[in-house]
Amino acid sequence: MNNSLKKLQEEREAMLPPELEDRISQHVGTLSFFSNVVEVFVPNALQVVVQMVGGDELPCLKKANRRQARANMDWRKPPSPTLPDPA
Amino acid sequence: MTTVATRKTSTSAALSDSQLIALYLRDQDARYFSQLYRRYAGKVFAKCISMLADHGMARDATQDVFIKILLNLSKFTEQSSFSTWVYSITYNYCIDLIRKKKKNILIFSEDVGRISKETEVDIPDSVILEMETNRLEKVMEKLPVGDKAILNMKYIDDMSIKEIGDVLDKTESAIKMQIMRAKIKAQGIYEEMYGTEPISN
Repeated sequence: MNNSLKKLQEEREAMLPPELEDRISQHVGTLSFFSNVVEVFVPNALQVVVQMVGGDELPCLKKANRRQARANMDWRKPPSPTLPDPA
Repeated sequence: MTTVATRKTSTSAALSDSQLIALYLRDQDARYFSQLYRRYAGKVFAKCISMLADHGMARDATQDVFIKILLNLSKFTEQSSFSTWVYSITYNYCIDLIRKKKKNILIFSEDVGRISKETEVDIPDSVILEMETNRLEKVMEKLPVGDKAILNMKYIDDMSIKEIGDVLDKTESAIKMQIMRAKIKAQGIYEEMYGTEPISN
C-alpha cells in the first residue's frame, strides 16, 4: 500500500536547516567544557575549603592523589631498601 | 591530528546507536553525538513540522529536543530502541509546547462515544495512507496535535500499540480508540475540504 505519510516525512526531512548542526555542536561543546570544569575544579575547591576549616582529605580525592603519587614515582630508585638483594 | 579526527568520524558512522552513546558517555567526544544528530535530526525536524505546522518553531523545537537528548543520554536504559526514545521525547515535547501556548486547546479528538464497533472496522488505513501528499498535509494541519502524534507513530515510525501507549502514557485500548477517532476526524476534514473527491489519485 502507498504511504503518503512517509512520503510527506521524507519531503520534510530534506528541509532540515543546515545551520542547526552548528548550533547544537556549540551546545555540546559548552556542556562538555562545563562538565570537565565541574569534574576537575569542584572536588579540589571543596578540598581547599575542608582543609581551611581543619578537615581531612576528601575520600573522593584520596584515590586520585594516590594514583597521582604512583604516577610520579621515580622508577630508577629501588622500591625499598628492606627488600632482599636478588644476588 | 586531522587524520585521527577523520578516522574517528568515518568509523563512528559504522557504529550502532548504543555504541555511539556508550562512547560519547565515556569520552565526552562531540563527534559521537554529531553522528547521532546526523542520523535523527531530519526525522525529528520532520516530526516537529508535522506537529507544530511552523518552520521556525520546528527548528527551535528540534534544537531543544536534541539538547534534552544530550542531557538525558545517561538515563537511556535501552528498554526501547534509541529511535523510539528519541521520537517519544520529540512527540511529548511538541505536545507540551502546544499545551503551554494554547491553554484550552484540545490535544486529542473529542470523545466520539457514539462510534460503534462496526464503524471501527469500517475505517481502513487507506483513508490516510492513500491521500495525495499536498492534501494530506492540509488535512493533518487541522488535526489535534495528539492525533497527529498517534498517526505519525503508527504509520511512519511503525510503533506497536503498546509502544505508543508507553510514549503517551495511555492504555492500549485507549490508543486503539484514539487511532480510530483520528482516522474518522481526518476523513471528516478531507470531506469538508474536498467534498466527495476520491482520496487516492
